[in-house]
Amino acid sequence: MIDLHKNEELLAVRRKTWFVFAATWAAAFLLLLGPLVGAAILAAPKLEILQGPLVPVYVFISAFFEWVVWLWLFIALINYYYDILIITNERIVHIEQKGMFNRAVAEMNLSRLQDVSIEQRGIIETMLHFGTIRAQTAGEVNVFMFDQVDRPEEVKEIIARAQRMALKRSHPWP
Amino acid sequence: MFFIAAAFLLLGLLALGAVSAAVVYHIKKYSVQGDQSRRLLVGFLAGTAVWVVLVLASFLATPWNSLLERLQQ
Repeated sequence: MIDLHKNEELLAVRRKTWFVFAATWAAAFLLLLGPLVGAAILAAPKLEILQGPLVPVYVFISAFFEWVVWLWLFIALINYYYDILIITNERIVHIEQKGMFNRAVAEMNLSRLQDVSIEQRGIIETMLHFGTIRAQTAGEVNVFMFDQVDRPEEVKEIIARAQRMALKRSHPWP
Repeated sequence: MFFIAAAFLLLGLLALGAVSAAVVYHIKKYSVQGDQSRRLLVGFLAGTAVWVVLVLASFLATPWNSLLERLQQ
């Protein structure tokens, strides 16, 4: 859980688009089906290899294989699901999960934010509504980047609105 | 044959169990307010339970010591 400051509100939590993870899902699904297809082929009437005491041995090896695929799927899912962009009324937090034991957390205060831009390159990003968001702080070369984010226009709007609110709070005079 | 299979089972259970524990740890530790981590955890544990039960049941159902003889018949 992210620790929110006093009076800090969570405005949005965004992740990378589903498309990034689709290939992994498909591969895992096919690999999980593999032993079932293998059993159907090996037990077919013409082959009849899989029978008698070989059946539990096949299930034993297959179950281990499926467990490995299951773990691989969830490790990939952790990499995908815990890559997060959190927008609050005070800051933007970018959490980047790089493998199981490698994680980077970057924070940017909204009152220091100068420019937010989005970029959608190519037909796939345009059709599936995902792209890159870049946020830049005032007076620094520091660029905050979150790529393959779902619906970047919406995210840009949320950030812009939050920034206006943050500026109003820090400079309450008209 | 039984001891070889049992050693394989024990090693496999230890290694995959450790990775499973790491996955559970990550899901519990890195969840964010309002996300689907709880469902993810339940799904992961349910799937893992299925594979563990299948591994153990198939191990117990295999006649390891007489496997080679029965295969030659």
